[in-house]
Amino acid sequence: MEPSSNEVVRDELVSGVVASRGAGTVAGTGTMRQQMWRVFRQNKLALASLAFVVILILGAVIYPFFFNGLYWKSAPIDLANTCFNSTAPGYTGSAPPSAHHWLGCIKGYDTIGLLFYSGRFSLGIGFLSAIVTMSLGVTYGMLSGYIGGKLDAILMRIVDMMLSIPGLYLLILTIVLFGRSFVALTVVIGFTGWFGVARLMRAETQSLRERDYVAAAITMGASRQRIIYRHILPNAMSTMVTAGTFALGDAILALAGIGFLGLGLQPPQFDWGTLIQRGSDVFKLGYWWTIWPIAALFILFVLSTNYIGDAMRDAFEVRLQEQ
Amino acid sequence: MTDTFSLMNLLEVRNLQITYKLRTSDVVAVDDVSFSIAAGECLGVVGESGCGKTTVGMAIMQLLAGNGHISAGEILLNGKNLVGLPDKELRKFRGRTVALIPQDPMTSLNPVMRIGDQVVEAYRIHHRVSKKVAAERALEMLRMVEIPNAEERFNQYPFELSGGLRQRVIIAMALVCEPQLLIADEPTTALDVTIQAQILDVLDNLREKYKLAVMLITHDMGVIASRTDRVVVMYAGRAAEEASTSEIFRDMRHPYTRALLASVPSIEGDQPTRLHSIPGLPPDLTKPIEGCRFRARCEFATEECRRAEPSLTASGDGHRFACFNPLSIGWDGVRESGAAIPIRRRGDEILVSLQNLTKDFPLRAKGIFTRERRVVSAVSDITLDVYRGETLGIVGESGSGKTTVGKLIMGLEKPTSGSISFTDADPSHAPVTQLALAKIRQMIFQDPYASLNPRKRIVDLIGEPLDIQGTLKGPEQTRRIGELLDEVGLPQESLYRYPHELSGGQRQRVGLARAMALQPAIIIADEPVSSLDVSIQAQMLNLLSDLRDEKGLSYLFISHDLAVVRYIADRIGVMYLGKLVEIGPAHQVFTQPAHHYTRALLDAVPVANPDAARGRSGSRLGGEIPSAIDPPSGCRFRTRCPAATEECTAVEPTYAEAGDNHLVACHHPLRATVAIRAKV
Repeated sequence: MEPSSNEVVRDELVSGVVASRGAGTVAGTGTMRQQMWRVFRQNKLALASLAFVVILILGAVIYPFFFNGLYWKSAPIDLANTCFNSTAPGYTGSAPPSAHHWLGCIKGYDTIGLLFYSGRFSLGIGFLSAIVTMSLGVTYGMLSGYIGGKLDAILMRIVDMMLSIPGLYLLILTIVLFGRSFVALTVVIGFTGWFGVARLMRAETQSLRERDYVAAAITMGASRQRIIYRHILPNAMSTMVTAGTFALGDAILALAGIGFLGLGLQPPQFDWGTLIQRGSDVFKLGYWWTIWPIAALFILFVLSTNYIGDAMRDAFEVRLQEQ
Repeated sequence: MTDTFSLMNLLEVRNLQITYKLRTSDVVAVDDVSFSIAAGECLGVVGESGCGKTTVGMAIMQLLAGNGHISAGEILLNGKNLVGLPDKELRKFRGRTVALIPQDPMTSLNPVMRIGDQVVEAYRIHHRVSKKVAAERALEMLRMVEIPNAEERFNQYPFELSGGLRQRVIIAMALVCEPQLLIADEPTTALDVTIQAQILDVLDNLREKYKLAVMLITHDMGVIASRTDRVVVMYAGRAAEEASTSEIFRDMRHPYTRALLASVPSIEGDQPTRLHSIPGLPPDLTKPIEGCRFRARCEFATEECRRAEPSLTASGDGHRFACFNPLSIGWDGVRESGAAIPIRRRGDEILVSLQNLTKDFPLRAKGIFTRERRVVSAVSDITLDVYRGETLGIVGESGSGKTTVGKLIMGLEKPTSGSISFTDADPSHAPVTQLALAKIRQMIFQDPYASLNPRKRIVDLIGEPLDIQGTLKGPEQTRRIGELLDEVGLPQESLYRYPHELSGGQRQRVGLARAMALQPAIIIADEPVSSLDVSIQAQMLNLLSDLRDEKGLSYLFISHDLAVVRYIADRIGVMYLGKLVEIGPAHQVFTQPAHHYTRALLDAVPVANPDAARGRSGSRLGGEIPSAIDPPSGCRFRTRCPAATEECTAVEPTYAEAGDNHLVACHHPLRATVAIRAKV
């Protein structure tokens, strides 16, 4: 059996130099990554959310390859031509859930397949534009908060101005100007969403730059880059993670909003917003299964990102790792 | 047990056990604690942080945090058990029979409510009276706690009041319903010594007037000695010793009580003696403890202490202690372990020189459209030298500008006027950069939690100055970091730990190792021990003085705690409202102060000796430190000075010599002075 911590202290005290100066023992609890994972996995809701998001991403990447495959016996998506022509003989096109099509069919396509296929575009644009949002917002906010003074005042007034323009109007305007391709939508959504992140990061940087450990680094002669990269950025991580998960959710919702207005991707590409739009056209006619799977997916996905964000923020919060 | 549990007791706590649920385990924070308080009695509960003293107070109010609950025992108030009572019943007791003064006066008042209304509300919860009647009662209470101009203050908001006044409002709220028992949880810890003395006086007066029983929770043995009738000493969730105040200071039996007393530096006596420090840390209560809790740190521990946990046993007149090897009665060994520290002679070589240093902070940050001309005069015209190898202590109340002086020397603030020069700075490197000065001056900070980047391992933290300077790299750097760990008494395995895995005292040692990494000539220490418990504080102070002697370091030691400064400093500078009012050799400043402010500060320090404490004069420094936005004309201290005259209003005093190397800026000094021609 291992000696108790008390005995270790006692033994050290008896031995030589440490006896006069000993500060007691230090118990290790693993690397930072291990400690963070330990806190994260205590949040079961976040674990379930993580599993859901991973399945969704894997499905979006892999499933369309098997869309034409044996198991689902679904009509193929004809990527080359128009994707809304049923090629199966005698097939009515839409059917409620069955043993073969667990969530039913929409206009000749298996709903699960459609969700995964459109997920490629929704998730792709969502993640990429969230990255654009975060890089712009973090850089802008950190610069403004760290340098301060007149630069800060000017930068923040610009953000105020941009925030006073209704978001949807800004989105529609830029789409009209730049088009509706995958790249254009990613850039447009990314560039219209970072103002809030910039404000948040500015506040975070302002509070972090006043910390004693930053003062300590200054007294050692540390450069500005060193202070930002080694002392401010790593400690802003939990704020960034939270902001990032919200940015992802916001981007996917924004894309859906655009899709719903008919300004989204053009077939053969389509996203979750387009699906909602098409489903809502026909669900009042009795095709109830056209709307609920996509609506449920939306809610689950946005909730999941929030739960994961919560747990990641906790994991980054050092104080929680002590208990 | 003994007859301490009698019917006349107002409060009886019997075998109280409190358990907290943590994320991964349960912690028994308080275990088998029993005590009682009679009507009109003042019981002191003393111990280091984490010993469970606040938890016991909160348990009596039944206000434990959500994850804590009373897992065993009884709390009898006037014979009625409060444990398990429904909330509706408990509300009748809270405020009415038992009242609480929380620790932090800055956050305990509702910021959007006028203070008078807050007292009125406290009264009307238990009394169905009109607002007018309640307001009269509230005003009476505000006068009772000696708030000046109570009528005007009645309609003010908390932000308009200083910390001392806020604490008075909180006392007024607690006492407005005339409770029988008051639980005061560190009521003066956040306040300056002069304000602490005022607040404790108010509490004493009210206690006498209302025959109020008080449970005074504190870590300060000085407060215990001067204010309480009886004491419970707690350690790691259990009572270690209980006795009347005079007895515990005369005949302490538990080794922990002795160690606690011996690790507090004193302002009494001609010469400080080396502090007795308790080695190690308090036990981790999340892990099972075998035997006596204090065993690992006790110099008298035996095999018996490992086998069983001692229970409280009575010895004579209400004196109880939990120890198998108690100290013998009448053993006067509190300070026997400490050898007298010789008075060090200061060297002649000047290391740092401050010339007419002044710092004004503009009231508002610079923007495009804002222009603010008013300034806070934080440091005003300070001239002093720090000599090589000496420790210069800077004392003063909060707001005196002592921290700003430290920051100016460190280059964290730029002086408005005046200059700072370092003898060691290479004049060929003009202008002298932060990078170059880092090898001459370093700093240790007050808060060991805030001064270490939580995302870096200890090895990276201590290595950072070496990285920045580029002096040592790779294995050589690692070896140097290992050496530094040895020097500050940290085990080598802490190298790859993160700061949150270390205790507060250990973190402060990391801060010290980091400051020493570049072998600076001077370390600026801004309140380096004030956030540590007394036993850890003693370890740290001894370490600081050992390192100074080994390495020939200089310290600029900034602290509000006069006893700590007395212990470590060779010379002491006293600051008041941005001015250096007195500076001289430590023993002279403490035994024969020349400035009235120094005298008042010394008088306000509670002494851990009940006989001396009660015999001391009642002269108290009135009022509070004025605003530094428009400081008083002439002598800045004149508004609170007992000797102030017309001259003090009109003319700012210059320095005069009150002894060898002892300067004072006062028109009516307490000691004869000789005018000096040149400014120092």
